[in-house]
This record gives sequence, C-alpha cells and structure tokens, in this order.
Amino acid sequence: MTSLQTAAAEMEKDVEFDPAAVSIIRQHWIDRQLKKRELEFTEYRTVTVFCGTYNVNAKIIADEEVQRLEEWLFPDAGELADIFAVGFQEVVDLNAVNVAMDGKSQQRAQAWQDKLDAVLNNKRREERYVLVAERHLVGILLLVFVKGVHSKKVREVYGASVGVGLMGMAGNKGGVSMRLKFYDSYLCFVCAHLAAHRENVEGRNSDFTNILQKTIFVDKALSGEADTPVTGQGDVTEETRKYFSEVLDVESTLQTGISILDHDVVFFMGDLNYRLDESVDTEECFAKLKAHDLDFLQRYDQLNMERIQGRVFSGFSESPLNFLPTYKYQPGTSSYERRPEKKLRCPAWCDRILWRAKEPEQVRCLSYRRAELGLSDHKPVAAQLLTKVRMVVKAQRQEVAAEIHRLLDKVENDQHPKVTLEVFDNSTLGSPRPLNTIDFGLVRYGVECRQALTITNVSNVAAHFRFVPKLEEETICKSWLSIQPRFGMLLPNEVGQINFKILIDLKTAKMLNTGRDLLDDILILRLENGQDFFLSVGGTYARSAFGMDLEDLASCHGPVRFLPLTAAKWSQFQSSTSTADKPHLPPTSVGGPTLSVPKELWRLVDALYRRGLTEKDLFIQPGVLTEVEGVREALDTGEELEENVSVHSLTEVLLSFLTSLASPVIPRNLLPSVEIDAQILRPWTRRFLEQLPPLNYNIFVYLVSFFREVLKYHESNRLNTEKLATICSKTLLPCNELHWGDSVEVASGPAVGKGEEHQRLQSMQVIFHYFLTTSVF
Amino acid sequence: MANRGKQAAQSKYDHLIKLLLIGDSGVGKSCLLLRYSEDSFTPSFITTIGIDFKIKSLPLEDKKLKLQIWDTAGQERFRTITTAYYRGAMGILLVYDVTDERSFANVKNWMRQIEQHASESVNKILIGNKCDVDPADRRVSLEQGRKLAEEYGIIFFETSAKENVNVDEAFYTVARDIALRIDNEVDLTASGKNVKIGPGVGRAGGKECC
Ligand SMILES: Nc1nc2c(ncn2[C@@H]2O[C@H](COP(=O)(O)OP(=O)(O)OP(=O)(O)O)[C@@H](O)[C@H]2O)c(=O)[nH]1
Ligand SMILES: [Mg+2]
Repeated sequence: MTSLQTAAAEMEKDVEFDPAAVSIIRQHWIDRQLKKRELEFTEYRTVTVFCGTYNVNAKIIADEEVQRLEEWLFPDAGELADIFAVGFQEVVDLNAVNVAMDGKSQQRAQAWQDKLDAVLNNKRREERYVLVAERHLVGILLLVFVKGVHSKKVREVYGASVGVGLMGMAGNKGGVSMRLKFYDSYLCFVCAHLAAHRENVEGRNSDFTNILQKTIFVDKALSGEADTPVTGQGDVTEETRKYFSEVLDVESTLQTGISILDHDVVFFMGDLNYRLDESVDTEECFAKLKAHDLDFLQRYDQLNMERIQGRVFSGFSESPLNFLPTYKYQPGTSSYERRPEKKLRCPAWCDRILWRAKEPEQVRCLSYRRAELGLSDHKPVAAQLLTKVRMVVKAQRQEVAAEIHRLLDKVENDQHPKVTLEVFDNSTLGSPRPLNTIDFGLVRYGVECRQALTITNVSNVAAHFRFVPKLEEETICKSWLSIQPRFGMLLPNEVGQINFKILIDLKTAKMLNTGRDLLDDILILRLENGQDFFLSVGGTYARSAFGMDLEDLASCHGPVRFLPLTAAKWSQFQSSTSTADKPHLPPTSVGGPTLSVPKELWRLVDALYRRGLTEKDLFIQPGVLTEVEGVREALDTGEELEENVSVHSLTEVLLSFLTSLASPVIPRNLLPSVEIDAQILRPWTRRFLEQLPPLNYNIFVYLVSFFREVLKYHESNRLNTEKLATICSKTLLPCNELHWGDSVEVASGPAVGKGEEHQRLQSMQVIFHYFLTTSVF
Repeated sequence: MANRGKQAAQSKYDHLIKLLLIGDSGVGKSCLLLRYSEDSFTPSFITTIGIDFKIKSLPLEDKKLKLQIWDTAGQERFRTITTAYYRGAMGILLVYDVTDERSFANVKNWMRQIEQHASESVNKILIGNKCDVDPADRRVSLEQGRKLAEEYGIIFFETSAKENVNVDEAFYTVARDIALRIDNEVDLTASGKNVKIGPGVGRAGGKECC
C-alpha cells in the first residue's frame, strides 16, 4: 500500500460515519430517559433486613446450643426477616499464623455458616433461607441469607475484602463487604472490625475511611445469575469500543469501581471499637450504668461524638443506643469484666449497626438491641430494619420504553421528506378531483393538452423527487405523455410545479383508434428516502379519422368520433360490417354498404372544388392552426365545415389526412421495382391501376381527377404538374414512419436500400406525372 | 486497513428489518401501521395511493431491531406496480378483513404474488384484521383463518387496529423470526467474527436492556 493510499484510508476512517457510535449514544440517551421516568414503572416493597454483629472472641457455639442464637437472630414478635446479614469478628484468634494462613478462618467461617443455616432452617418453622454468599477475611466474616421466596430476585452478587490497620493490610482489622441486587435495588453489606484501644479514635476513623475508599467490587459473581448483557453484539470497531468503554465495557465499569456508597442502601455493622470518651471515668460509667442512665453515656460515646463532628460515617444513621454497652464481659456471664486480675476496662458500645440510604425514608429501624449470649466478651447486637426496595414493573417499564421509542421514531420519521400534491383544476369549476388523478378530459388528435400539479415540500428536509419507471418498464410513462420536469429538488416549504402534456401523434392515434391503447397510465413519483406516489394520468380520446384505416373509414357512414372504442368492440364492428350483418350496432356508426371514398375525403375535396380551385398558391401555402383544428373536429363529429375557413387550412387538412392514414393509398408492394421509361410506362400504369384494391383505386382516381381539375386553373392557383406530382408522392405513398415502421409490412417486402428507394420515388414521380397529364380514366 | 471504515458502515449493531404490508384495499393495512407506529387510529378511510414507510424501533432483550415497514396500496389497479416492492422485503404481512369474504378469498392470489415476486426466504404472516367487530358482521371465522395459515405453513393472528388487539404481537413475531433467521445466516457465513460482550453489571440503579 502506498503512503498516499494509507493516508486516504486513514482519512476515510476518520470521517467515516459510525452507526455503532450513533447506536450507543442513542441507547445511552434512552437509558437516561428511562432513569428519569423511573417512578412511572417502579413499585416499592418493604422487606425486613436483619443485621447482626457479634465479636465471638475466637469462640464457637456448641451444636447443642445453637438454638440460643435465636434470641439474637429472631425478634420477640412479628415476622422473620427477609434478609439476614450476619457479621462476626474474631472468628479466629488474631495471631500471626491465622493472619497469614486462611485455613483456620475458612474452617470457622464454614462452621458458623452451618450453625446459622441450622438455626434459620429449623424444621419447626416454615420459612426457608438460602445462603447468598459468604465472605471472610481472617477474623471477619459476613454471611448473607435470604428467604427462599426471594432467591430468584437476588442478582449481581459481588464481594470485596479490605484489610486495614497497623500490621498492614493483612487484615487483623478491616472490612468484608457484599453487594447485591435485590429486586431492583442495590444493597451493600459491610462487616468491619476497626482499630482497638480507647484512645485510638483517629485510627478507627481512618480505618473506616480506608474501607470506604478501598472497597471496590471487581470479583466475578459469587453466586446468582448475571443479568443479560447491557449492550447488544455487533461490529463495533476497536476505536468505538474504546471511546465508549464506560458504557460498553463491563470490566472498565468495574475498575472505575462500584464502591460502597454507590448503592441504594448500605448496611454497616461490626466491632467498630468506639468507646466512651476518656472524660468519662470508669467508675462514673459503672455508676451511670447502675442508675440506667444510658442517655448520659450515649452523649459520651466516641462514635456519636465523632459523627456529630462530621468526622466519620457521614450520611449514615443509627438508632439510639437503648441497650447496655456490649463490651467487655466476663465470658459466659452477664457481668462486665471487673475481675481484679484483669485489666479494668470501661464498658463501651463497641458493636454497632448503621445504615445509609440514598433516600432517607427508605429505611426505618424497627428494633436495635443486643442479645445476652454469653459466649464471648462481647454481646451480639441486632437491628431489624424495614427497607423499601424497588421493583421494576416490567410491563409498565416496557410501556414507558415504548413511549420513548415512539418519540425517537417520530423524530426519525420526520426526517423523511414529505410532499403534498395538488392537481390544478382548470377544467370544470369546483369539481374536486382525487388527488392522485390527472384527468385531461377529452383529448383530440394533434391538439396539445396540458395539465399541471403543484408539489409542496411540507417536511423539514430537502425533498428530491423524480419519476421512475414501473417494474420491467424502461420509460417513466407512455409515449403520448411528456412530463416537465422529470425530477427536481425542493427545500422545505418550497412549491414546485410539474407540467404534463399529451400530444397524440399518428402512431398513438392508430393504437387509440383501434382500441389497442387507452389514454390511461400510472406514473410513479418517487421521493428519495420517502414515499412513492402513484399518479393516474388519463383522458378520453376523441376518436378521429386521422390515423385510421381506409377500409374502416369507408365502412363508417356516421361521424368517426362516435364509434365504439374498445379493441373488442372494434373488431366486432369490423366483422359485422364485412358480413353486412349489423342490427346490433348503433345506427350512427354504420349506415349502409362500404362508401366509394371515405366521406371525410369527399367533404374536403368537395369544399375545395367549390371554393378553392382558383386560390393562389393552392396546396403550397400553409393553413391557420386553429382553423386546421376546427376542420378536423368538424370532420370527426360530422358538423358542417365553416364557410369562411381559408382554403389553405382545408388543403392542409386534406394533405395531413392522407398522410395520417394507417395504411397508404398506394400500397408498398405496388411501387415499381424497375426503372420506368417511356417504353414500359403505359403497360405498367395499366397494371398498376388493375392491381390497386378497389377502395384505393376509387380514392386514387378520385384524387387524380380532382388534381387534373385543379391544373385547369393553374394560371390563378400557380400549380403545375411537377408540384402536384410531388404532392402525390408525399401523401399517397408509404412515406410516414407509421407505414414504414409497421413491422408486418416491412417484413413482407424485400429489404430496400437507400438508393433503390430514391429510384422508386423517382419512378412514382414519373407515373404520377403521367396520370395527371393523360386522360386514362 | 482500507476497508475498516466500510466494516463500520455495515455494522449490524442495529438490525434493519424491512417489512411489507399487503392485502386488498380497505382491509386495514394503513391502520395497522398507524396503530403500531404511533398508537393511534382513525375510522375514516383514506385509501393509500402509492407506497410509504415508517420506521419503528423494536428493542428486544438481546438486540435492537429497527423495522422499516412499507405500506402498499391495495387497490386492484396498482397490483402489478406494487409487486416491484416485494423484492427487498424480509417479511410480508398479508392482511385480510374478517368482515370481507372477498379479501379472504384473495389471500391465495396474494400468496401467488409473493411466490412470484418476493425472495424465497421471506417470512410471511397472515393477519385477519378487524376482529373487534360485532360477531354478526363477521364473515370469516377465526378457525378459517387459522386453517388457511396452517395450509400455507405460516403464522396467523387475528388483530384489531381499532382496539389494539394483537398488533404489537403480530409485528413482533415476524420481526423476531427474521432476526433469528438473519442471525443464523450470519453465523453460518462469518462465524466467530462477532465480539461478544460479557455479562453486564449495572451501577446502583443501573441500566438494563429494555
Ligand atoms: N372495525 C375496524 N375497522 C378498521 C380496523 N382497521 C381498519 N379499519 C377501517 O377500515 C378502513 C380501511 O382501513 P385502511 O387501513 O385505510 O385500509 P388499507 O388496507 O390501508 O386500504 P388501501 O390503502 O386502500 O389498500 C378504515 O375505514 C378503517 O377505519 C379495525 O381493526 N377494526
Ligand atoms: Mg392504506
């Protein structure tokens, strides 16, 4: 590839319209619209979430005692929770071995899981619970169970663990988290163990911050089914993929991170290790406890104080601490650790449960309490939280989505050009016409008819229109019609005009006269990137003697105009005249046996005979167009010829009538094939006359006789034999394209060369000359 | 390198599916399209003189379809002209009117037109429209329609553009079948070229296919 080609390819790539990009952006827009209208298809359902936290101090409850866990897990009254999120701390000793090796933790985690499972799925009760996931980090363990009926509504489950604290990362302190989609809400559970020691408030604060910052859900689903892919498949180029990675690439979505606070509700539980403020003396504390003055003590709770200062857990809520501090107990008893050999500690609310909801009213705390289990030096804590979860009602969402798509579709459909068509009505006033019909009314031979329609662009885009041929046709319309313009462009609101013209030429006249064609066509007007209009174009052909067969004309006594029109009727008419059986035909069409010459010819010759013999430049000067049309019309309808019509108009009609005949007066096969010299002239002309069909003979003789009469007045009409012979050649011989073009006739004779052709005409000229100057008949 | 742009231009990211509505004049083709694309209906009859199309997007679970639905003139005199439009169609919805026996009898003629002019693989569906009418005005029974469709081995629906019965379903069914057919054809020809994106995870309140 040359560098030029490379450059061109690069450029092509840069400017290339990328439908995938459009599609992605569009989908993104749709998603946002849906999000905005979420309320329209969202219902809420209130579920109870149990959160529990228990620092078990490396103890494990004996199997025969597991029922005692019920006191912690189950409320005094009311229904069992829909979700159990149970957090433990110090499931193993936080010694170096356990920190370094997972074995023991793993084993204890499994043990606690089994014990909880046994309690939750106790056969005494109907409810069944399934484990969503388990996650542990050294001593920290989080187990999430849901009621069996909800198990199908749990999706997109991910877990994350973060170790914090001095000994670094390894995780004697830290937090494990689990996130999941429950119905259509995203919930996050965190179980944490924060820095110890009464004075180390800052350490706890920063552990919390660390957990929030470092917890990022990247793991593969721990369980539950994944949702269907967000975006469809298809040929998305690498560049496009990169550009839209945030919406396309699941991996990168995960890397930029789903973090704890991204969820609708966060439940945060654990041994947070906050104590009473050091201003409270231990003895004072015990005194207050004895007096049950929890209000006082709460005020000095470090976590409460730090939260009020906004230094930690901002945005989180917690219920009042209406239970006794949970630390530090003499294990197995319900008395605080006050044995002299032990270090004296001030009791504290180390074990806490907080929550954070995007919409604060989403969570209501039903109870916040502790249980009296005597396993550890801590007491377990439990919170029963009524939580509203979102449920997308599929049908309603689809309805909203459909509306959004309809809007988009409308915008797209409006980008297609639209035009209106209006037919100019210049005939009868006030007769409304169907929009797509162009009716020319009565159309006469040789008379131009015009119609027009206006085309208005009523869209917001440029409209390109053009007439196109119908299937398997090559022309856009039949030959008698012309369209101007055939194509064009209109800007919005621009109005254009399309002109239609019908002119019936001889060929068409012949087809129309015999009913083989009709003045009827359908045009296709195409709007690029839009609709196709079908336009019906038509009119009624005013049948005319022009373009008819001699035989037909001669057998027709009445005006030609009123002959039956269809091809079928026409042949019926012909056959009945030839057999002289005519009772079922209209009396105007047929009046008797075949005429000796067509009446149209007779009428013209008769008028000229009476008025024109002495006219100067007879047959040479052209007529007046309107008069010519009038004379034709009169011939076709049987009306009287107007007396004041100029003679030249009459001669013009006569000559055009003769040339228009569907077959010429002198048939092609009678043309001389040899040179006519004086020797053979006589016998040849005799044979010529003999061979003319009777009707043609009549006409020929009739015309030549008339021309001889004309020549008598040559001094005033300035005609001579030469001129008349030429006129005969031009009108009586097969000369017009119709005569030559008819394939049957051409095929019947031998192929004729140009020179030969000229020769024949020359000979005919001689023959006409002879007839005009000799009284052979 | 040079044809990379082209590849993008031929993206199958959205499937474009061309559908064609045919059937006798007055059976309700334009009304069906209007109901489907704009969810509206007008009782007045304006016969279609020509051919027009509407775009309708149809997001399915796993792919996005864009339908280009062509509405044709049903009048007898346009019949030969309209066959020109059969060629590009991927699906044809042949509509008759349950109150009009003639339109039902003509189904076989329309089927012949399809055979002659449409591509061989075109998906067809038979639709008996106006099923909302008073049973007394019905001339073609549900059973008759179903039987005829069975004979041709094509899907059948009775619909009402007026009352919005089965309109979405009819278009959906044929569009989905075409999408499946095209997918299979693509799989057969250019296998392994598609880049599939793994399972998605929404952020909070995340996105989802609609
Ligand atoms: N009762 C009832 N009437 C309908 C229904 N659908 C259409 N119609 C009526 O039937 C007539 C014809 O409907 P159109 O949709 O214009 O018919 P079409 O098939 O497009 O006809 P052409 O354009 O001439 O081919 C109109 O008067 C509609 O109001 C229907 O589901 N129920
Ligand atoms: Mg219509």
